[in-house]
Amino acid sequence: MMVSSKVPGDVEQPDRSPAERPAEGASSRSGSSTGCPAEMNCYDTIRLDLPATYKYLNILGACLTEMLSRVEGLSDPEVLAYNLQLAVHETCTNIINHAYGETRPENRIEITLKLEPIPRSLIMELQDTAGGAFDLSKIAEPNLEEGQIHGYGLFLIRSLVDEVNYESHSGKNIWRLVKKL
Amino acid sequence: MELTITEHIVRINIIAPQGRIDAFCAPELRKQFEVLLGKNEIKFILDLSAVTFLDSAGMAALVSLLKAAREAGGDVKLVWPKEEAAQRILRLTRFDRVFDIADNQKAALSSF
Repeated sequence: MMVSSKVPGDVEQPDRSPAERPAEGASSRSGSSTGCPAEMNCYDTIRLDLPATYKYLNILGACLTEMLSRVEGLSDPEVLAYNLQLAVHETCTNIINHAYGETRPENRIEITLKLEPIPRSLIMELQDTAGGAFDLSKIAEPNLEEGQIHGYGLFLIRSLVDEVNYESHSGKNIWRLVKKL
Repeated sequence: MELTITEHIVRINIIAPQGRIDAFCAPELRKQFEVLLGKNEIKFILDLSAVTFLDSAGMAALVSLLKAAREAGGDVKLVWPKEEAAQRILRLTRFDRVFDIADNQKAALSSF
């Protein structure tokens, strides 16, 4: 497993627009140029590159939980961490089961966890190289009145975050989950 | 006076997993369920009080046991996880309607 962690001050920020950069000379922690809360550090990004197997998904959950532990003023942080851990975990298992469909050593999932200041939110992007595409709108909701063997995964993802976007292009599937904090 | 006394023993299996029940661990749990079902065990208590994380694969394992047990004339009762967030997920997915969920093993035993 390769793990890279990027935090402000020691990383390149290739996708950062001029409007998001702090003014020269301004402290990146103050947030004065963007109005972001000081404790959020304006542009906190963690990147993980995990093998597409179930074995190491616990690392993703632990990473997300620790990342959220650095955010002040969250209401019900333990429940929030659990819910987001479950949402990204379910997205990964969906990628493993349905996008890749088989375990091969070269199959990877690239995950980016990004704290955005305005509106204060956590953006979780998950990317695979499995190709293909599927139509989210065609995934049936589970019948919750009866126990289901399948079908809870996407229901949980949709229920636990504020936005779920999926797109497929150039052989990549990209999931983008957004949770307002 | 003649008395006929018979003894009726109800066998209930209490299974208490600890930690995570997720896609990585769920196959092992299902295997355990199949072993017990293969021995004609049909009544189960799944004590989730020490479960810290439950994903959809774990939920599917619980439902598969429930279906198999009920088909054989038995049942599965749950004990609530202590983890509040896990409780909320069980309510969100309406597991509290599909299963009887008790506060502890004693209450689950008495619900059979």
